[in-house]
Order: sequence, then C-alpha cells, then structure tokens
Amino acid sequence: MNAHPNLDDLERLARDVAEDPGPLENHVRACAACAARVEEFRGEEDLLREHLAPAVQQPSALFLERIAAAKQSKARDGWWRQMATAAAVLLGLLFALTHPRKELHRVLEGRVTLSDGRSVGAPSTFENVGGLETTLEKATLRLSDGTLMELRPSTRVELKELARDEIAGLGGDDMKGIASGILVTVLSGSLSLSQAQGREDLLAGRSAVLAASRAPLRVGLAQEGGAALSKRLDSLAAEIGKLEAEIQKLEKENAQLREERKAVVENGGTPPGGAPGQLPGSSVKEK
Amino acid sequence: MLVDVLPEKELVQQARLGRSGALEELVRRYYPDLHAYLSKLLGPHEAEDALQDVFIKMAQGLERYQDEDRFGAWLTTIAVNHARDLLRRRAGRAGPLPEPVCEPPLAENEDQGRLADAIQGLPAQFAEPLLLIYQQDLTQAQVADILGISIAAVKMRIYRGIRQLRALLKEGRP
Repeated sequence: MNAHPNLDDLERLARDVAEDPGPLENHVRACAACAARVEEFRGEEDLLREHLAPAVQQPSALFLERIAAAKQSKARDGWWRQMATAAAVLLGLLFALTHPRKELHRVLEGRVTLSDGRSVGAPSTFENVGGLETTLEKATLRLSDGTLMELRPSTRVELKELARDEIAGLGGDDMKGIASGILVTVLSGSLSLSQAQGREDLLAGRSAVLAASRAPLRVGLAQEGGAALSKRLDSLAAEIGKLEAEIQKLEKENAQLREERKAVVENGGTPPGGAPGQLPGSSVKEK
Repeated sequence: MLVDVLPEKELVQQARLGRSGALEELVRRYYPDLHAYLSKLLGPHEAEDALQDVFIKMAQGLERYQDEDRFGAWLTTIAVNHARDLLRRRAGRAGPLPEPVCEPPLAENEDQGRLADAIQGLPAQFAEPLLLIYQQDLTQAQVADILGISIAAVKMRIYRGIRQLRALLKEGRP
C-alpha cells in the first residue's frame, strides 16, 4: 500500500474491524501521520469512558421497600403457602358472600384528595372511592388488589369496580375470563400501574383494567373516554365562560355604583342605600 | 453478620434465603451503575422506574437463579433486555439512522452533556455496547455474553456506534 488509506480504513483498524488489517498495519507502522490518526480514533474511547462515567447515586428508602415487597409477594407462592392460600380464598369467598366488602387502598407516599373531599396522606388507608387526585406532589398508592399506582403531580383518577359482564363489554380477547376488576381512568395528568406480571403507563383519557394475576390491561376506551372527556371539558369551558361574563357584568355594575355613591357624597348628600357601612334598607339610628 | 462486607456470591445466597438486608445491599451495590446505564439509554425520567422494574425482576428471579458467580452479568442482562422492551414500546422513536460518512475523531473538549444526550439518539443496538464497555467498564467478552452476540459483532457495533455518535454531534441533533 503506497497511498495513504482513507479515514474509514484507519478507523476500522483502530476498532479492530478491518477486513484486511495486514497492509494497513504495515502502512501505519511506516507513516507517522496515519499512526497519529489511528491513535486519535482510539483516543475517542478514552473520551467516552471519561464522559460516560456514572455519577454515584443511591436508592431511596421507598425504592428499597418496593423491591423487598415484590420479593415477599413472590416468596408467598411457596407450595405450602399455596395450600393455605387456597383455603383462605374459600373462606374469603364465603365471608364476601355473607358480609359487605370493604376495599382498602393504602397511601405509601405523598397525599391524595378523595372525591368526597377527604385528604389522605402516607401511611394511611382508605376505602374504594369513585375518584382521587394529587395536587402539586406525586403520590404512590398500593390498591386493594396489590397494584402499585404511582401518580404524577396534578393527576385525577377515577376508580370503578367492574363485574364480569362489564369487563366483557370492554371487548378484546384479553378481557375474556376475567370475573371482576378495577377500571382505572386517568382524567388528567398521568400515572403508572405496576403488578408482578407487568406494568402500564397511562396518560389522560386512557383507561386500564386491573384484574387478579394479570398485568394491567389497557382498554380501547381512549376514543370513547377521550370523547366523553372532551365533551365534559367543553361543557365546563362553557360554564366558565358564562361565569366570567357574569363576573364582568357585576364588576361593571359595582364600578358604576361606586361612581354614583362618590358623586353623591361629594355633593353632600346621602348615597342610595344609606351611609357608608349601613346596610341597604336599614334605618339610621340616632345615638 | 454485616451484609455490606460480604462477598457478592455469599450476599446472593443470603438474599435468596431472605436474610434481612442482603437484598438491599445487592440493590445498593448495583444501583449506581445500572442507574447510569438506564439514564443514558432511556433518559433520567424513565430510568428510575425502569430500574425499579429491573430490581423487582431480579428479586423475584433470585430463587431460580443458580449461577452465583455470574450474578452481575445476569443482572445486567435483565437491565439490557428491559431497556430494549421499553425502547421498542416507546412511541415516535426514530428508526435506524443512515450510515454516516467517516468524520474526524471527537474532540477532547466535546461537551459532556451533548455527548451523553447523543447516546440516547443512537439505536439501542449501538448504544448498548457503548455504554456497557465505556460506562460499565465490561470487557468485549462480557458484553458479547450479555448481548448474546459474538465478540466480532460487539466490535462492529462499537465501530458503527461511535461513527453515528460523531455524526449526531456534528449535526447538533441529540
């Protein structure tokens, strides 16, 4: 090889992927300029090492708790525990048939406001309610079925228990055979649902069904849910528009009244509705 | 027994037996490197959630896992595969980049932030070996084992990955 090899060949040599390295190596040994180029290419690897070096990070206590909880959940699947679990399920079914069911969700991190106005912070439990929301902080909940729900700030969620026929009505092969579940609908914001079987991230307008021993099942309610949500938002926007118009009208009337009152007072008279501080319709009592 | 001084093989055994603190110590030891890897591949916002999933899979798979000498490689493989799954699901991700022409080597004063961001713009098949070799400091043989490819394939992906990285940086497109 008399002519200098091109840059690509020199780079291939540097990375040890040259098809025929022999002639290249011979040339580089004899050519300082090409040898320097090969060294530059190899030097890129040192740059990458330096710039990609990991910063030291440590897991939070909540992070560690979640990992430990997941392992315990798996450990409970030992065969003798399965026997005990089967017996417990039978007893539980019997109990559920004869007693009203009380679903409890647990707040692990942050605070949520329920649809009934209650504010619940970690570590607390609450019954299954129609909806809940976070404010400026994120929140993490463990739902009654064991699902971990992580809500981003300013997220509103609707939870609804579904029976078999309601789930079947959602359509899709995934929904077949599910006896009951919780329908999670994100009204605003976003959240993540994690179960041992899988994980699903939901944005506003999306829904998922939580069923025992399954990963969260995203449902095709996006369009339906999105249309309903849009309709609701339009209706709210219209109401807000009306309220704003009323407020403007009242402010205008208020300003007019203030002007009239001011004019009367300046002329030495008693303003309509009585003296300042006196309620309209009431008489002024002489002391 | 203090778990933080146990050798890894023993720590894995203790964690499998459910000994208090052993699982936590394993998580602590691997958290920084895997967090850095997933951050570069997925972005910092997704990295934490992805890392949690990786460690949960590790915790739940410990009972079945037998080869205690290869625990690090096994855990890294879980992280690599999980990141791949997430990248596949990610909507709107750009397809493979066209093969670039050879550009001059990266400069020493290349901006660290831009370089790190550019990694995210690479297809996973190139970003993975780059991070495993130059960030996680694994050998080509270890990377080949984790990715399930030959050493020659690792070298080729490094070669193509660095070329694409250089082209991305030159265009200013992370």
